[in-house]
Amino acid sequence: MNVIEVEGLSKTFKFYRKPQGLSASLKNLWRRQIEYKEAVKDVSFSIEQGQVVAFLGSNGAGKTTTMKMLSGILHPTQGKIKVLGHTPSEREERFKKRFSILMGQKHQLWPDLPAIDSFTLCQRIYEIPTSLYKQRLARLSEVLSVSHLLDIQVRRLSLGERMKMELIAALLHGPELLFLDEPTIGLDFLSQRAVMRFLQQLVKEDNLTILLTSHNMADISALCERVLVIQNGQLIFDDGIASLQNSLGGLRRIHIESETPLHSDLLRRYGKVINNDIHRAELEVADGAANQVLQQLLNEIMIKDIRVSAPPLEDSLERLYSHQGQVA
Amino acid sequence: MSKYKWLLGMGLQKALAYRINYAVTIMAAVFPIALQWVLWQAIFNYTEADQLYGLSYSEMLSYVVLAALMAQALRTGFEYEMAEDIKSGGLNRFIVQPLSYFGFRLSVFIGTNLGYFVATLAVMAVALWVAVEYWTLSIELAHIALFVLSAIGAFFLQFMLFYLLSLTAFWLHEVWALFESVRVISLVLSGGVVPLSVFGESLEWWLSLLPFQYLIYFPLQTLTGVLSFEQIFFGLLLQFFWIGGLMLVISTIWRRGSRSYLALGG
Repeated sequence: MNVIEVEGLSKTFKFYRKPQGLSASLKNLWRRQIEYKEAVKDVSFSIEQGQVVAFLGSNGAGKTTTMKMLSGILHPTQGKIKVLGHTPSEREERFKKRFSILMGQKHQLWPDLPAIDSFTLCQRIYEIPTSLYKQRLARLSEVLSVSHLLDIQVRRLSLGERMKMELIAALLHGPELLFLDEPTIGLDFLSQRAVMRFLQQLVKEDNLTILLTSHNMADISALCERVLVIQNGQLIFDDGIASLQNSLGGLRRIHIESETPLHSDLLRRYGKVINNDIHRAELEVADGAANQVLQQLLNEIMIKDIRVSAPPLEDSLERLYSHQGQVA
Repeated sequence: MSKYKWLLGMGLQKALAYRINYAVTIMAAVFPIALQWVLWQAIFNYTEADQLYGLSYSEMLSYVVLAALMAQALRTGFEYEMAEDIKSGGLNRFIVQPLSYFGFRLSVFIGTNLGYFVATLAVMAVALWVAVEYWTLSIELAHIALFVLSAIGAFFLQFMLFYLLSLTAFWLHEVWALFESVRVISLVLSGGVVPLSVFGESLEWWLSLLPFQYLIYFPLQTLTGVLSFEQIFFGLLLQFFWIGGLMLVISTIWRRGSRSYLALGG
């Protein structure tokens, strides 16, 4: 079953330009130059129940705008959206009770109150039966290990703790669909990991559907099976995460650590040298050649440690973005 | 429904926490009242008139005091919070949660202001009692009952007016000047400073076409027995229509505004 269906979605923003200086401000009083920006252009995709999908793109590519349209915050200029069978821009109560949206930079908890008070408000707003509410709150706060912080003013919590509280607030009503916009922004890596591990568990146990934007590739590769890439408002990639990595043309990275100095001249014979700091080097080779290169390297160099990996996702993305830039 | 009741309770709790704040504002209202008192005393002494604009000295003074208190009872403040919500994207939360923004604002308004409203009515009752004793002003019980009814109407009418005003933040980026001007104009046009009869008959007639007089002038006229029962019922009906009419306008404007809403931030 498709949880999200998007067809030909577009959003155009109207804005004014004001050149620097007072005279320009005065001119603007009389006549303002209206310009239009197509933030999202003719985007179509669908997401099945239980899928965890990453939504990638550089700043201003249209990710957040799309998410806002999917959650009903913004009205689309054109196109059709069905989310959980509803049209989001109609903003029906029944629809709102079935999803949650969490924006890393926007908070729904009241900073002056302890989190528990905001949770009670959530219970009221979503009309969650008390027993179910207590059960969910106990489980979520235990898994995220914040049970002892519930009665502390939210503004006194650390960023990571606050994010965990926001997650709890977003999940108390048992949503089937979760929009996460930069959920780990500003968190240290321990908190990032805790949040990601928790989301993984949630997906497994509750069959939750998640659409996630993040600039953190570790988040993406840990959690997502599928990647949507948006660039200049257009969808330029929609496939599994493995195929995004393969989009580089099936490359492999060989990481070598050696007792003896490594010479780039020698390494260059096997593949492209990504970096080399004498005792440690990284080599890029074609997927099919990796085996052969490994054997030859083992014969020629005193190797302390050697390991093969896929090139980082960032590389695939960078190539995807720049390629698209050339086309446009 | 229960969520709005709960929000109302939260608002009431907040108001109780800030009760000192309220006492201070009531005290502060003493100064403009004293100023008017001195002013009208001087005018009556100077002109040596028995009546000015159809009101005797004692009637004028009690009107001025009661009107100032009534204006206190109707104070708002949520319009700035609303403008901020609209401007900085705080509305997003309400759009994605099953909670109506109008319902939220109304519940919190009732919750926070109910205490002030009742307390101010009590202060007014004391002032009235003093006036009745001191100036032998006659007030009928039926008029007091009808006044309470019209005061409750004024409470909701005030909410509608300022809610509607706040919606301008969808299109305007700086609202402070507008809010303050409307607050002052509304205070004058509602009879919160002087009785509307002061403005002359023709202007008073024009003002009767606006909703403002149902905030202060009409309730006080009801109280002091200037109006016949027929006029009072007619006035209550019009007040009710203004509340309903403004609600319709609000929902239309809200629909248009939230369509053009940019959902900034995040």
